[in-house]
Amino acid sequence: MSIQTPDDADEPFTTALEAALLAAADDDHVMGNRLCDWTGVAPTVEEDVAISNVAQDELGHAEHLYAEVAKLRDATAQELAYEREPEAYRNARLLEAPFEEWADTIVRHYCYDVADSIRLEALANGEYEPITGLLEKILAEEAYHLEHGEVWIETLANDEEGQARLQAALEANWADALAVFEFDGDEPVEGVYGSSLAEQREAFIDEVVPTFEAAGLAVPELEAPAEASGREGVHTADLEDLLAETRTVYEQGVDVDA
Amino acid sequence: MSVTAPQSFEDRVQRGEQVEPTEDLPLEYREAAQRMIQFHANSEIVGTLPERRWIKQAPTMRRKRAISAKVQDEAGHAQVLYRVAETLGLNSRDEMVEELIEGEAKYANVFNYEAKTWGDAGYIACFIDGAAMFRQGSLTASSYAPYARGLRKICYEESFHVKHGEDIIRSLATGSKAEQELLQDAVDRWWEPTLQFFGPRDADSTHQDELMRWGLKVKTNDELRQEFLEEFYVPKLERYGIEIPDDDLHYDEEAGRWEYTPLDWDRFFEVSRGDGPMNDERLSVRREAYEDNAWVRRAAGVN
Repeated sequence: MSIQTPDDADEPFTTALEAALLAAADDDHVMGNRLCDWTGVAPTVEEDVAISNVAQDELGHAEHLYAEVAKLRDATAQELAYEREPEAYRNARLLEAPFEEWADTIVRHYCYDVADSIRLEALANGEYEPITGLLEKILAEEAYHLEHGEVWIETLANDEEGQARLQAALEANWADALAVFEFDGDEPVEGVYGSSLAEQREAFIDEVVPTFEAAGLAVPELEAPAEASGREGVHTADLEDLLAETRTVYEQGVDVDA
Repeated sequence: MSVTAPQSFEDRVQRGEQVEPTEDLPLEYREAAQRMIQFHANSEIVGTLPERRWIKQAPTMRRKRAISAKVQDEAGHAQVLYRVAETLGLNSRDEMVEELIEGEAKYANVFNYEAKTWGDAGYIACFIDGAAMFRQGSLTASSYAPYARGLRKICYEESFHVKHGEDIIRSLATGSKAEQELLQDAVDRWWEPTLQFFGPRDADSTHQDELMRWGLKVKTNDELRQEFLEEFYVPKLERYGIEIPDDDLHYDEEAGRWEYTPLDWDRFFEVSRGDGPMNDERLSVRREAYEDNAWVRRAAGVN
């Protein structure tokens, strides 16, 4: 069974699909903006290029995903990216805090890219055909991001200080990493994803835990937090600060598309 | 013969020959090339700093992606240029990076000014990168072959930056009164630093004669400034209806050159020595990042 155009879908499906795409777009938007914290100040000149490239990709993914959401609801991509209140954002909290320390950045970047790839794969295996081409293109770029994160996990883990910093970052972020697969408390409508959120989370754990363990790290015995997640619109002050910063020029009405 | 060898080398490069790092290059040549290419590499990496905030603050997703790509390119140019400088066999990358953060190595003065507004973000991409294209375009004929090769790729990317910048300029110039004022304000503040981007007047330039003699530079600072005014700066400002902030600017038909109010060269040298609005900020950002991430480089075995 497949859905060829937005008009072929019934309303519950469209609503659930829109929520799934919006969460993915918000994740990439927040992640792309955050990764820019390293542009110009990365540990080496090579890494400056690499991390800025990842940031650029994420911002591009967000742009395209917002455009897909805009086809499903009465809003432009620009409004979705720039005009919603922080509580209307559906990004995972894992991505909200500024990137200030390299091991923390690498753990969050790696966890997110694994999670994002699994989620996008599940969307590509869903019933909504119009996004398949876009998702394939995004997944091809995500493969590079994954490799970038993995290489850094291995590299840092081979250093005593690096391993201690990775362990601390893993403990600080693990619950939020599991919460990437939370969704408004409910399972999305069948067919939006090719696999359930619980299955996606299992796939995530099956992928990252062996990588962390091979790097000599102990994965915490934690579940995703019971309180409301970013997917339900509950965010930190970091997100409010970030969104306020992204809107300064937009709110002046300067160089904004007509 | 060691006495005559440098002379014959000079003849070769004066004839327009390009030389490779594997050749027996005179030490004076290596030193002059090192200083010039290191300056260029430093300028690219410091050049990311005035623009990085505009990735977050860009007013559309499309602009965000374009400016992120641009800043990434600048970092890539620094990477290429440091590698080219290393082929001269004098300074390692680490030594060059350390000289930069210690404030011992220079970079383009223009990056010691603040990019205050979105108008500045568009201005820098269009006019500073436009100026860079004139300078770098001429240097693709530089006698040091690895530098000339690196610059061909760099110029190709800079041309996209200029397009991105000009698109912002066009949008502001054809926009609301507030947008036009934002653009005019940027031009008013950047006019002088932009013309000074090409370096001191020929008569005041310490190293220019030496660089010309070695064929490392093929056009003088004043020649490049004139070309830029004639072929790019003035026509673009006029096309977009921007008021040129110098009433004395005019083309002197007889002399065949643009005349303008003398630039404040004392101020130029002050900024160059460290007294610009953003010198301390630029260097301290680089220094802190370098120090905070020493453990990462050690873990990665890169120093």
